[in-house]
Amino acid sequence: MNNRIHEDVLINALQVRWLIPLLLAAGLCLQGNTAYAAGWKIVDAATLYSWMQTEAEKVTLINVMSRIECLDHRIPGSLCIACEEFDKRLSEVPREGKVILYCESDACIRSCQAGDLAVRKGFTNIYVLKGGMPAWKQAGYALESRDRIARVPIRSVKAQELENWRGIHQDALILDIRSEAAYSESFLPGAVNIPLYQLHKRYRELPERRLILIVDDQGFRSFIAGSYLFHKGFHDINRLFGGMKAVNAIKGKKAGKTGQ
Amino acid sequence: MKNSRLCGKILVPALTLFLSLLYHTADAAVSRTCQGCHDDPKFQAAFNSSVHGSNGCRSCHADIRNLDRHMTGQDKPVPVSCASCHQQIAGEYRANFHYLQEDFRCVDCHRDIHNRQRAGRDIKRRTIEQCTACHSNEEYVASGHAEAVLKGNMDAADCGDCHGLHDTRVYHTSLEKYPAEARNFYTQKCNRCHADRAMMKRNNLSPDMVRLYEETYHGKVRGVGQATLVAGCADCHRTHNILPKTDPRSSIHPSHLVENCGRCHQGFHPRFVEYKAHPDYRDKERYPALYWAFVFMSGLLIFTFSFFWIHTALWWRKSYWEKHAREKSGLLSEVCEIAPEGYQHIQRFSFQERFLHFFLILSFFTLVTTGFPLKYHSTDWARAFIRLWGGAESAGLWHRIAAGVLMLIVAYVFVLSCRFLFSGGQGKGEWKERLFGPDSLFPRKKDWEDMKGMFLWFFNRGPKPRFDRWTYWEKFDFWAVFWGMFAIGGSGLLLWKPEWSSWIVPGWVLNVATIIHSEEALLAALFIFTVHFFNTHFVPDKFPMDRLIFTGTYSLNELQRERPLAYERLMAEQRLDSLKREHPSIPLKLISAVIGLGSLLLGLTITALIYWVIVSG
Repeated sequence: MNNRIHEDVLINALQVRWLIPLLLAAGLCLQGNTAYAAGWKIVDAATLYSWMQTEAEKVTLINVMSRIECLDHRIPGSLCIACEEFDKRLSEVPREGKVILYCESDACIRSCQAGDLAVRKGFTNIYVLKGGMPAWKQAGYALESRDRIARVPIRSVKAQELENWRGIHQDALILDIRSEAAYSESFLPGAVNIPLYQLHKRYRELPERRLILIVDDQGFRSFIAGSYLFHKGFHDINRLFGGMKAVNAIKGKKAGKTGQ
Repeated sequence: MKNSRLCGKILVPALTLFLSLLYHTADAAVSRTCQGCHDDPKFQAAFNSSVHGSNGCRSCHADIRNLDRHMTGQDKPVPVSCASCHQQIAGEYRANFHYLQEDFRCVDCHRDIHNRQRAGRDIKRRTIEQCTACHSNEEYVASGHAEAVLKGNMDAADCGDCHGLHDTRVYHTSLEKYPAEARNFYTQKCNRCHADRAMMKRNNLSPDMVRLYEETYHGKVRGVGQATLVAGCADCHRTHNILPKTDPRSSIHPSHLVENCGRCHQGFHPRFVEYKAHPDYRDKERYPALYWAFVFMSGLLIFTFSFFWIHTALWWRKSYWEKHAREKSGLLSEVCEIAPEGYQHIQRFSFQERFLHFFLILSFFTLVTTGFPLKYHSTDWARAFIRLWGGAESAGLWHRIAAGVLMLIVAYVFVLSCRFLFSGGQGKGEWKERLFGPDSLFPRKKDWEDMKGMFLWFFNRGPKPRFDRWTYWEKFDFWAVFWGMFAIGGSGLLLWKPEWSSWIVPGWVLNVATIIHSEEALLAALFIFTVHFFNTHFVPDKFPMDRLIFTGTYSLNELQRERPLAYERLMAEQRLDSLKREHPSIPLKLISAVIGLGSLLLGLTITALIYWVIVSG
């Protein structure tokens, strides 16, 4: 699943009933309820830091973003297991000590999803970092970069200009980097899907010398994806500002105006 | 294979050793400086003339300590920490959206770090170039600010002036998630320039806009710390299309106003948009209704206080001098007019009247302590009062509850007054007699005579007037409440639900209502805390307080001294006995003293705070 999908989900709530309990979980997750029915607990940045100082051997951190993002910057010593691969790679998650899941956004949807999965598989030692990496950064704690991707300027296309833009760039390729699940629900006409967690393995599938427009959930992940592709030799890249969320917001407005 | 391994194992170290020996012996041939090896132009002259040129390489690349290890490729430079020098920026940057959400580091924007020149006058153009490399700028280019920047106006806002350069916030993308923070952030950014008088005058813009906004309901509520509830600059002027209202693309162009106000307000009549967001009530040409409302209210305040403060000063002088004369000659006021049963207590106020007055005090102080913090929102004491009430929203709720209580009291008093006039029913002309009779609070000719008499007495030109049941200043107090209810209550009701009001009156009336509500409140509060307090409590022969309104009774002596005509009427009508009461008990006296003195002290404190604001500007 993808990061901060909740707004899109609300729009399509009727089609994806299974996501509703998940959203409730996320909501509770955000409130910082430690005694939570899902079976995983909440930990804040300061507590996590103190654990890392005092009982580092018992603490396993898991970054549930894509491998590209995780190697670019992560809390020192983290494993990189993307949320979408969590069930396949569950064997890498230790059943002893404390396992802390975290992601890039303060809404820890991805971490919660991974946490739910682990709990269903019988893990009792799962924590979710409250406020995710932003909280860790704001508290002033260090990150580490294994394969830092130097960011490059990437032009952004606003959702309200998208139609116009597509008219001008008719041969552009729309690359949807959201998870398979989000993509299967709705996507821009002609968009191809390579989820960000697979991009490091599959970027060669992309055509060279063709303008690419990267689309994500909310516009937060297309930038690093674009910078990554730039360094892999794809130099003609744009990104959709605000992601599919912005596109859907415009759709919602139009629907409202026509009285639907 | 073997050969290549041999190469790797033997040749490379050998070559390295040879080269390093050569290097050490030939120091004349190869310089031992960084720039000796790093011969890319950006590390040479460009770096020397860059902003960091005088620092030298080691100031940033301090981790390269052993040049030999570095030259043989064993020590590679680690990422540079800019924060070691730029601490303040690093602190601001920690909350920056680009860092929190995209993990941008310094070098991701400052890509030309080795040949970075001081921006100087070029800062705005460079900022815009930097931001628009990623952010599409069509909207910004359409804005008035951009046009001015591109014309070379160094005052106009570039991206950083509004969004912050190193403190771009995460909530920029989430106004619905952090409404208060975002509003305050942007409003503060706008104020930075638009409150700068010199800059505004330079650019032919009104230097008073910010101040005038802060005098409106939006500005006051935001100022007192409740930004979630009210519009800041960007809510009406939007973001990238900030243009004068004459421009059809502008959000404040008349054709867009209904939509613009409709972002926050629902269910209003189209004329609601005639409300002025930051009018200048001193501008007679553009805002005549406001101007005259202000002139009228100011006149009312000046007239009322001139008269009553002079009245008070003269009265105090006269009383004090008299008291002094009595004390000097060994006489006490109590023994001046000995009457039989001088200490017998007589009822003046019924339980119902005392009860009403108590709730009047409660609601009045609630209104004052919740309303004045809004009027003087920039003061520390305003914030303290708001905190006491549990935040601005809660203070606003209490303000409206107290307003409801006060309206009920006044409505009830109106009913009582009607009953007083029409209760008899023994003949047609009776209500007129009652209206102008001695028990009525309606002004009559005698009040005018009494007032003249008081002034003569102040100047030792005549005896003190002989009052009946009500003095002229008590009647003034009574009627002032009705006038106040009309002015404050009426304007307050209009402002309570402005959208509903727009179905009755056009939007600009709300601006007038704001002025009237605010100025009448000042009149009412100051009048009660200075004039009413003095007339009733601080006058030298009553100082520090008169318990009468709380206990309901006073001595026969006081009745004879203060209201001789009423005493004579009671005697003539043989009603005095029915009004005789027990001396008030100790608990009642104590409760009266606590409530009374507490109210007086609170009122005086608030007066001092208001004076402080007015005097210190």
